Amino acid sequence: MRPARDAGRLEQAVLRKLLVANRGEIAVRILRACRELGIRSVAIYSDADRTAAHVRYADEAYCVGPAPAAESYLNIERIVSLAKESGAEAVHPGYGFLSENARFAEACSQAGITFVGPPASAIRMLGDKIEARRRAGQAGVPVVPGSAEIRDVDEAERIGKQIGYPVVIKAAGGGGGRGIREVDTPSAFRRAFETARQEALTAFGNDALYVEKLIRPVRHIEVQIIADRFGNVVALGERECSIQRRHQKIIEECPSPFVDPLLRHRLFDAAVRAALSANYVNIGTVEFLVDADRNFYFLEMNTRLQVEHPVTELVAGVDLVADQIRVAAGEALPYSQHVVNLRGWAIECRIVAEDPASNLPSVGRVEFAREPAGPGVRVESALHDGMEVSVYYDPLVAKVTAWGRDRMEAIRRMRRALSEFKIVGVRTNIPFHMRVMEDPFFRAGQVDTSFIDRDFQAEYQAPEVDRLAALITAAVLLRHSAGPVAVEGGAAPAAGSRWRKARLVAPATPQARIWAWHNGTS
Amino acid sequence: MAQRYLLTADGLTSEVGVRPLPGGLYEVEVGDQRHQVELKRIGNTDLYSVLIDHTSVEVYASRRPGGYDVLVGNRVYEVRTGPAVRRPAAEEPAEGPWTLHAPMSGIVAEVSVEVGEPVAQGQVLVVVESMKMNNELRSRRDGVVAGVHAALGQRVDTDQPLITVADAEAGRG
Repeated sequence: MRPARDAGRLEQAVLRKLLVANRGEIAVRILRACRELGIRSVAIYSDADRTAAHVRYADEAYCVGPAPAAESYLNIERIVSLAKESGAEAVHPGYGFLSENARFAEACSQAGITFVGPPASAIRMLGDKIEARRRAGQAGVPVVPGSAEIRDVDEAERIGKQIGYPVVIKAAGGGGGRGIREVDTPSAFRRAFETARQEALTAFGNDALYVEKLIRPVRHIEVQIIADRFGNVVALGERECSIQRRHQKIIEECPSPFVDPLLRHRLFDAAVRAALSANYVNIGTVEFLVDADRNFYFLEMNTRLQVEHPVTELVAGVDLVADQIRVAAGEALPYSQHVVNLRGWAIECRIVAEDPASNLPSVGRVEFAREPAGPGVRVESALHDGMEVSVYYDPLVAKVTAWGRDRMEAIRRMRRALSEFKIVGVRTNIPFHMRVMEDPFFRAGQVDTSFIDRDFQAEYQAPEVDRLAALITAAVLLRHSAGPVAVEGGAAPAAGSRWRKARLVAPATPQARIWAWHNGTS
Repeated sequence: MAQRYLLTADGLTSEVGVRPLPGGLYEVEVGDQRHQVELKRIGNTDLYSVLIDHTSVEVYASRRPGGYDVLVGNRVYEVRTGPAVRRPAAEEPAEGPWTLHAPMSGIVAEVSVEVGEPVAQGQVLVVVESMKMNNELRSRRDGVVAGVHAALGQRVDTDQPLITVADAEAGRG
């Protein structure tokens, strides 16, 4: 029998110590949950991350290896041994890295450590996209027509023709938009297949691919579920993830502007069925493709915490990270489906270090960062002045989520929040997000997965007054740095006078301090 | 006396005059417009509060060789002294050898061509992996590969030369 939970106790220590096997904003998110729950936290870091935000936030920190992820954040043996060494009872994998690696989940259990995620068997089954699709179909969930695993390009080309163009090539061990190529015509197939294969091999260490019918236009809508060990599965709302570039989600919202109560009911039912058929425990996301006629197809199930989880948290009123830690520790779900109440609207923008003109990654040192705040705004980030954005890791540097009573209020708040976000040193896609918030199609909720590539004019025009302000600021600062200023209309000191020398030695006024600073004398 | 600067931002050059006024104010002349400007530094940082004719603008300005990088709104303006320099792309000759430079730093994931190989405009020359994305870098012209300056697995930095493509005739000769 479990003792009744002491309602008056501030900290509900379901575990004593937890290791976060990740970095960046998601590591900080998990560490925050640990602090709230009274769990002592352990961070791991690569040589490139010694001074990163997650290292400084955690209660303990251990070096996991050199900068390349393969030698650090993906090193299963090293991470498990650090967990044991530090006395952690549980490991949270975050997203990316080892979060959907069944071998890692297994290694944790074998070491007697709780893996905060589904059982290894569920990760393995659902990680095999082809098997996952087969199982979902058996459970009565509609699936997209497609092939089994293919390694041979000739065979793949034949199957592509059978399914009928356009088709999409995907990595069997994939996720996160990597190893995916859309092919419109048979002539482009071979090149696309080879590129996808190489990207899959680099990203997942597995070059198995499969071919699916490409549905266009299509929306990408996913359902967040949570399941405990006692067979309870709850759907916590859907997320609209149709705004993607290069198959990577960049803006997500909850609920979806396209989903009506009937479709929502059907999506929830299908998601719960897919989870039950996989004997799923912990949080997971069932991804669906939805066509213009509101037909939906099971795409895959993500067996981890998602990047975009904050929109669900804000609208469903849950704490997915705390709840998944509780479920992993063996507790029953604290809520059931009938009490889930979606309230208001939330939108998330992923802030990525990239050059807005070329969409290429922007690597460098963050010289200055200031994040937005205020009503309805939540920021998940690991940004700090002096942070290095390196080639080794994901270019996601922060996530801004805005909540409003309705969709327009959420959009207005997002626009305001983005205008507050200042980052100097690396370029980001903030101007891009600003443009999306202004876009009439987006505002009307009329988006499908081709929105960015087809409808959206990504050219961002900053107001001309901004350029003017920049010129004026630079001119005044240049004037400062040229030395003490002879004030017109005032008593201008003669060059070399004793008065002027005294001012330079001991700057008195704030204005003089600026001069001195620009002259390098302070 | 007004100090005059030739300042370039966004490829446009403007003449800007700065004249200090009593009370720490400035009169700044841009084109035929005159503005009254007050600039205050925030603490010991590179943040400034600027009032331009009482329009309040918060900027972050860092000193760079030849000028300042100024953040206004969400954008950093690279303000440099002197006239606009023509962009390298505009100077690129339509004929003669062309070199593909790395547009970002990363690791060479694939070298798709060999020296002497004929290539078409738009053809993938090299794939650079940066932040877990494979970026296909394509030829900007038809020609023959005259030089391969990067090897598989090599770490490359922004602007580093990767592949040189020469005119087909030059390649044959």
